[in-house]
Amino acid sequence: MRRSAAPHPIAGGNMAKIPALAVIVISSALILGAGCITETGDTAQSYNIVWAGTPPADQKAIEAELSHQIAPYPGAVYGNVTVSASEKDGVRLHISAASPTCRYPDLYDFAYMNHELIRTGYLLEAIPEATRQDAIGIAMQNPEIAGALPGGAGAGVPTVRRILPETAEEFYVPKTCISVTWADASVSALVDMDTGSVVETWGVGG
Amino acid sequence: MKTRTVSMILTFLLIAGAGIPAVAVAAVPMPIPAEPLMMVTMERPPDLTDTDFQKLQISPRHSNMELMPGESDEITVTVTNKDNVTISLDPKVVDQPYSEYVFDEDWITITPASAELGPDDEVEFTISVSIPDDAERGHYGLQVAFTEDVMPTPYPSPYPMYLNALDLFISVWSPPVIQIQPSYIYDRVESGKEYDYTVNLKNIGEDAIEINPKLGGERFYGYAMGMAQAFEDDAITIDAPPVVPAGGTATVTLHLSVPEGSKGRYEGGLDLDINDPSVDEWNGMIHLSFEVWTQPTEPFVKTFAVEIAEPITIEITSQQYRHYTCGGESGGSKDEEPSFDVTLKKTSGDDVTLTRTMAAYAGSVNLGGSDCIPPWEIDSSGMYDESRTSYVERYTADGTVGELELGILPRYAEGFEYTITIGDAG
Repeated sequence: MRRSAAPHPIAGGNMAKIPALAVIVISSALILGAGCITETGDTAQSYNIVWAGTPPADQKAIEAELSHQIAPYPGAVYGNVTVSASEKDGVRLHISAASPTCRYPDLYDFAYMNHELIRTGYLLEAIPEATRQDAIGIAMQNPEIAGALPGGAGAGVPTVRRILPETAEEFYVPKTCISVTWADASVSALVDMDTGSVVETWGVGG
Repeated sequence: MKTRTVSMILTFLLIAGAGIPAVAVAAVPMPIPAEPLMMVTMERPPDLTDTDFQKLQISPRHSNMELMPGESDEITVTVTNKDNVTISLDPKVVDQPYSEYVFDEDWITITPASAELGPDDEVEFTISVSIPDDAERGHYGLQVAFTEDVMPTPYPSPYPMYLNALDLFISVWSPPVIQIQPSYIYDRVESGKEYDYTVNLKNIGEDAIEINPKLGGERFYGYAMGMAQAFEDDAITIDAPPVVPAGGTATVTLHLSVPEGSKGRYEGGLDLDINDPSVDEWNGMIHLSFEVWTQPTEPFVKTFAVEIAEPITIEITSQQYRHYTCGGESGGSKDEEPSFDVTLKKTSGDDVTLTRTMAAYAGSVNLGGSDCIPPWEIDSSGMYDESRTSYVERYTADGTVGELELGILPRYAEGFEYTITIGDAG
């Protein structure tokens, strides 16, 4: 009885209670929002950064900047992040970020110049196994890919790599995609995991 | 009678004597007296005297355009009268000699059509170029001559060189409708074995495109010039459809049957003969490069002397370089793992027992890009590129004094290095 009556004041237009409800809604949103931010922050800071060799003088600043520039595939978390620095022609950083639930690590290369991290390369293979298999399945269902792969086990095991939005934008739209590549056959598919479709192919005539 | 005889002899001698110097003169090269140098006066031909022309400053004097059929563009040319008299400008389009294609005057409009230019005056001409949809792809060269002044020549020229002119070069192009992958095939093949390679074509256009792949075009590759080929073209057979359907793909298959006993290299080209004007001859060519490898049947033998009975260590290293067959399937030349059959014996024939104590794999990884990656992995794949691997085997034998023979029969090795250490191998 009470439950069914609860909406009534709003439907009935009891304006005096609307500010109170608005406060509750906004507060809830803030709490949830804060939760999300906290979760992201926790994710960013949940991994251990290990410096291979002597860290550069700007170690703390680099680590802070790194937390904004590297992120695991959705659903994965980084465990250990190993940073190798070389100070040839400025500070060059090579990052290996491993996830306990992924077979391969994510690799990043950065240049650190004028207190700024500039990403110079990435090779991101820390992808949850289920997602890897889904991506391979989607790629293999593409007729062009299927036709270009040799039969049987001749195609070998493909590489599955995350393609960042800024790269994907050049070929599709600015969103994270997955590249499934059979190196032996020089065939590759760019896969949109949201739509479950191959959005671009390479090595099947183009 | 005697007098007559003497006279005849004298006559003969005189004739003969006259002949001898003549022969001598002919046999001995005589210095040819140098003729006095002639002073050549660079006189102008009569029709080149008092050449005069109207002095115009034309900016720019050269311009380039790259246009696709159906596109148009325009440039502005400023002409300034640097003479002290009024000059009438009546621009006209003139064909350039040696232009690949003849430019149609209807494709160009010059505004204003004419002008009178007083001393130090200047005028801007707008030159508009509009390429029709059916124009042939290629390079067009033309001049826009503002006056009739031409470079004087001592003889009539079919292409007078206009002095007050703009040189305009127009490249009519269109993006390729057909995509080809790979652009070359390079492999290490074994005599007596067979390999298959594929070239993938993709037609992104709206019309089917005819192809007629055939071997040829090796003239583009210097390797083939003056070098004996490891095998003839008939070792390669091609299988291809006649067309690449609109919006579809096609696969050209090369089957290589490496003749038994062939050695050396083969360099050639696969001319796809694509009936698409946007693909020029060079871009429609697949470079073929095959290195024929032959498995040795007899071991390499190295004889060495051991003077002190100390342990013998033999280390053999082979290196493999990545063979590039990017695109399509690898020709079936899956790299086999290298190995060695190693023997050690005394020259007397007695075998020396060898024990393999170590085998090692090593690699060389570059931080550079590879051509054989999808374009969306260009930021990633280049980070590690293993271009060379090596394989090492180490053997030891008990010390024995005398002359020994080391035999190494490599299998699936491109080559190898060996080290024989007598005593402490470190």
